[in-house]
Amino acid sequence: MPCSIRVFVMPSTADLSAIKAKQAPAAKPAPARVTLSEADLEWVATGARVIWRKKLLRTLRTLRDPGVAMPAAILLFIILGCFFGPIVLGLPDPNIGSLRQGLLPIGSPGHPLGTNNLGNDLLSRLLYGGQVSILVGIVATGMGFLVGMTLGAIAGVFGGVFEAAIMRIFDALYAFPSLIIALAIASYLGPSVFHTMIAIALFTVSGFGRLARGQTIRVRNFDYIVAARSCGMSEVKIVFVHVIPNIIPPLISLAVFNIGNAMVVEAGLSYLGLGIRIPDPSWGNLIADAQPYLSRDPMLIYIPAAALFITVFTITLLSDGFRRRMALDR
Amino acid sequence: MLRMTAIRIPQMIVVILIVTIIAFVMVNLLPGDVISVILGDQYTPEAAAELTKELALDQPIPVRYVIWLWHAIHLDFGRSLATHVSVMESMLQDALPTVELVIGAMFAAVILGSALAIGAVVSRNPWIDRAGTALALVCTSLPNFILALIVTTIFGVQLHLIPTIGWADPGDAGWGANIRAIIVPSIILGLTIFPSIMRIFRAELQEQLESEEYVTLARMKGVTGFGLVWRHVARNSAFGLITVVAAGLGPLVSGAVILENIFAIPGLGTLLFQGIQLHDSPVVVGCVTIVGVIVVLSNLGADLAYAMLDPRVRDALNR
Repeated sequence: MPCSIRVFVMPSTADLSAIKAKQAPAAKPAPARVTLSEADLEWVATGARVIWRKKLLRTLRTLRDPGVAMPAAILLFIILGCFFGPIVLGLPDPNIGSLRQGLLPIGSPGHPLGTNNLGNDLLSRLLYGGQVSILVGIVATGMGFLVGMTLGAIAGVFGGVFEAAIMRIFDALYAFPSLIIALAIASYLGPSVFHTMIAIALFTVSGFGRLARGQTIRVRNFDYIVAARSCGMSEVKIVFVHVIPNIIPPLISLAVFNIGNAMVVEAGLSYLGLGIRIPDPSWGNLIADAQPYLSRDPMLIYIPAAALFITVFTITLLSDGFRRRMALDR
Repeated sequence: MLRMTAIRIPQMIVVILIVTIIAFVMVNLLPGDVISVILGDQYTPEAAAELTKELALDQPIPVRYVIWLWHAIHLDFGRSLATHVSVMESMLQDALPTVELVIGAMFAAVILGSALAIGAVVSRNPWIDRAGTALALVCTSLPNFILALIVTTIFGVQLHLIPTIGWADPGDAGWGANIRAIIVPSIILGLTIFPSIMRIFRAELQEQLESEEYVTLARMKGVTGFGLVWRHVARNSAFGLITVVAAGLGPLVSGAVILENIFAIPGLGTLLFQGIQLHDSPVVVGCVTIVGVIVVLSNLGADLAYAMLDPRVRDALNR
């Protein structure tokens, strides 16, 4: 569908100069009108897409940096270990064990990391617990990321009342100490993996939202967005097609950091008995369950604590690496 | 300055209202049968109906919210459903340990963070910088409850160096015992926000040292090294800390809930945690509101103080 527009901003400086060159000899004082064909509109859209693809490629290229690649590799190893380790190693079910085999030490035959008070295999519980902890971290962050980014981008593009309302809600969510709101939600909804994810996702929204709004305001007046607007693209479509893909890279470092943070909060919730409940294992409730046996078998606490610490530490390193790399690229 | 205050205070009131609405609606909308929790064994349909009427639970939520808000403005948060004690009274009673814990944690974080930041900037020894960064990384990644468990196991249970758990009321046991009981939890809590304090203070110091003219002047006068940083740069950079410390309040209160639980300290966190477990809505909403209001107020206070103390910002605002 060809559309006719009044030219006050052109898709690119190249086109602008071409039109100026055309107009110069004629020296018409009337405002120029050009007709954009389907192909021109397509060009405007792909122009933005090319930028996005370039940014994505650049984000992927950061993997060449050892500061990013090392933690990424360790993290991949941990994730693969947790999800495929139990199958590959043929570990026993995490909830089957006999009481007579309770509290076996590290290195017992058949139980490389020993057993807990109920005789369940600790290595098996550790790996299955890791699945839950990692899933909660990733899914909760993902939900917060999507909601926060959309709201932040909307606030940045529309401005005015939308912006004021959304920002005040972010302020309010920010004022809640995160753990308290998660505790309340988890307690009233009842403990389950999904409820824990929702509770954690809710307070990550404001962090993503604030950053997304700032980035949107930066991107808002870029040529390709003004061009899209002048071609009559609706604001909502602009948000989803042009703004969001281009603010994702700066949000990624925050997202990676947030995964670690979400895992820490999950562990805290499960430790207080309001997150993941036994018999489902998670690193937080493994620590809580082991607490009565602290003096008899401290390894029961140290091992899941070390697993959680190493994973979160690697995630923090990864997000630091991303941030440093992006600062260098700019 | 006046204009900034005039814009920020209505904004703050809106934020506080949203905080209370979220807290109130969340606690009252989410499933969980309050009546059967309170009545327990004595549950009969008649008693349940009577109690529902008494607690105004038959009214729609907006009406209940307005009633609650009206009382809350007069500092009346209702009575606990479980113990029938006034929520305001129990919050005041339990405030002291939490306030001590949070203030102690702030002190610990600021002292440790600024010491490492100044050390790294002054000595120019990369190892101090690396040690500080490494410590910050570890503290960000280690959940404070794990740290608390490990510290109490090693220093309390095995070496008997510190009191393991518990709380000494200053009225009964004296302030000395009180401070001894609170010092370890405070330091552990402070470690959770120390990384951000260190990072920001260090960046600020570095920037001032590299770009400010008064630094050049001081160097020309012959002031260098620690004296330069301590007497001139640190004081100018300290403004930035106000905002960071205020922003750390939220995470500190979150951490306090867990640490009070581990160390068996009867503070606001314990009150809130028990309220949540018993589905004791007035206690939960009261505590969340108070905490939210304090966080919002301290953020506003920090922004205003920052604007008032830093002549550069103040002049920019007045212009």
